[in-house]
Amino acid sequence: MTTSIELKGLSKDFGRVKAVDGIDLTVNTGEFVGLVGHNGAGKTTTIRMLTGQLAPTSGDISVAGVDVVANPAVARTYLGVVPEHPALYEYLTAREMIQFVTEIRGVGDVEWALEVAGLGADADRLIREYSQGMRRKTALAAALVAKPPVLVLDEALNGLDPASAERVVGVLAELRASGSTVILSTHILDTLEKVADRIVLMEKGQIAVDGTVDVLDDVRVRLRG
Amino acid sequence: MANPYLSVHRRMRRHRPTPWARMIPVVAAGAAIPLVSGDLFWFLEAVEAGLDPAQWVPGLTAVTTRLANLVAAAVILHSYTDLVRGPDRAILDVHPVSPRPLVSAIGLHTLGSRLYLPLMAAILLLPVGMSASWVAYLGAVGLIVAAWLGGIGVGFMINLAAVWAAYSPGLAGLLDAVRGQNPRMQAALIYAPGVALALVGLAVEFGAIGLEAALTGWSLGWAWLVIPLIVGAVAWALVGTLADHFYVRASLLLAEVEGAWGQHDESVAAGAVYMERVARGRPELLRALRNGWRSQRLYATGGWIAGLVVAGMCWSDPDTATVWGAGAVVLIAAVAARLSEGDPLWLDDALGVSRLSVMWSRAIVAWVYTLGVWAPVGLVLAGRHGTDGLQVGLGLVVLSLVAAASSACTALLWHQRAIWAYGATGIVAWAGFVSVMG
Repeated sequence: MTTSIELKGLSKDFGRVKAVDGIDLTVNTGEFVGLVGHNGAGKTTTIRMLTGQLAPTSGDISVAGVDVVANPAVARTYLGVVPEHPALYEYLTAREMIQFVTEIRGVGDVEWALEVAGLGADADRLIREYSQGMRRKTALAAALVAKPPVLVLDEALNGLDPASAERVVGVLAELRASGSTVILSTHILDTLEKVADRIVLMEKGQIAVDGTVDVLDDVRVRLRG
Repeated sequence: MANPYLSVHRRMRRHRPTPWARMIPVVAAGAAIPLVSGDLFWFLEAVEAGLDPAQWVPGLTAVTTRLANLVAAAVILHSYTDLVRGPDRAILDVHPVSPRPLVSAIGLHTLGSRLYLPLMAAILLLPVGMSASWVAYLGAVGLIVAAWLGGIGVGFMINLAAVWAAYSPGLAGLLDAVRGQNPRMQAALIYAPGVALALVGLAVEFGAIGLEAALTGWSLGWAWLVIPLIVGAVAWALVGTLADHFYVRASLLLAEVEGAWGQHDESVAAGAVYMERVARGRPELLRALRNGWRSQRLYATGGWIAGLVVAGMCWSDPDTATVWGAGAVVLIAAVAARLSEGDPLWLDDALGVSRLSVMWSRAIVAWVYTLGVWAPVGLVLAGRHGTDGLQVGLGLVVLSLVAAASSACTALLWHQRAIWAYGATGIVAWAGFVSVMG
């Protein structure tokens, strides 16, 4: 089994605050990892470093064998990312936005991405007229359109109606089955129970729990505490 | 192969509801001509008196140099907002971008969207063509266009080079020495526009020498007008290589800077903000003051810097207060229009806050920020130049009230696009003041 993502001794300090504190994590190709934790636990900082949006204070990150710190632009060719707060071109339609992403990535199926994100009927409206949920769907479509080997989604299900969330999770499961690696940060543990292979719980910048879905009961208790 | 970044900018232009908004200041410049031409183009009296060009050309050159530098300064700041802080960066940060074509597309966007700057200057200079000479007019406009283009080329080059400077271990000591309270990496970005303006300003000086020489008989002087353009072209030739190395790294740099400020802001968030005492018992005003200090601080600090500079200028020459003091007051009052940019309208509606009360709160913030300009200038005018000086100082106070109210009013009416509408009203208010007090 090949390694898709590798974090070694990864740390990020903001002044005196240690947002991420020396984490090690290896994710194999085709794994579906659920990343959970309280707000401020370090999930988003970890994801931003993993996707080349933030430089680590120390440690190494590789995606598909590419050093993210040295070559963030190259690493992004392997990554499909939905950030916590997706930014989109307000004066494009969703179809134009996704078309643009396929042009810069050189590959992609626009109609498929719009359909799995549930944007079919609204794809020709300007993004500036969209609700938060529809913006998130557009960001999802942009992340999925090129079917990249590694998908990293930060709170990607927030703001989606239950039917859309279920459809997106189904698509992620299909992509995982076809060999994609998925990291999904979410607070919806029931969803992870259905599709995740592994659960990683972060607390105070460190990995507190890392195991199969069997650890979810323990994770629930810790999150309630 | 077509440049996809260029196509996407083109598509967005087609969808924008008010592409003409940026031309509002150009129209306002036209309206301002009759009001300011007497003061700005004082040298035209020599033309009307039938004097030799040698008597009025230095005046034209001086005004053209200032306008060219203003246009260059504005477009250099725009090149920072478009290239470093532009919307493309946040959107494309998660995608694999090709920096070279992307930066070319952003450059063309800057060129198109900031066209209003040389157009405004060309319209303001029209009295030169109509009263003196169309050749002189075209020469002056040519220098301004060269400064504008040079500003774009140099601005893009220096902003990308600033990312290199921020990461350079060799420059760490220098950046630490000049950074003040800012994170070290931000210091490079802060000083980049100044370095770019120094380069373009020097080129403009040479161009102005050429313009003056050409208009007084040395025809080779015309060739000097292209010096800022050549400097810009050389700078632009370096942009592609710099973009390949530093466009993506700029995002990492910004993330570090914002992270550092996030820590700083957390420690000062509970502290009082500038002029907070004014807001006693007025929650909307307190919110506007906090927003102003935390998101538009440059207007508060810049107001005092501009005020002290103008006060120094009018120590011996009170007339400078009319043009430059009024300009600074109008500029600083723009903060009210800027405050509306990120404010969600729905929030006030949901909270039952009156929009008029929000408008007046923003107007008060704008007015107290202009205090940094009119207080030192007024003191110098009253202390050094007696009743005449006091009159101009009081005039500046009245102008600050008018500008603050109109800035807040445009924010109420146009929200995200308020700055363009205020730009137009501000120019007319400034021109009216210069006309009355000049």
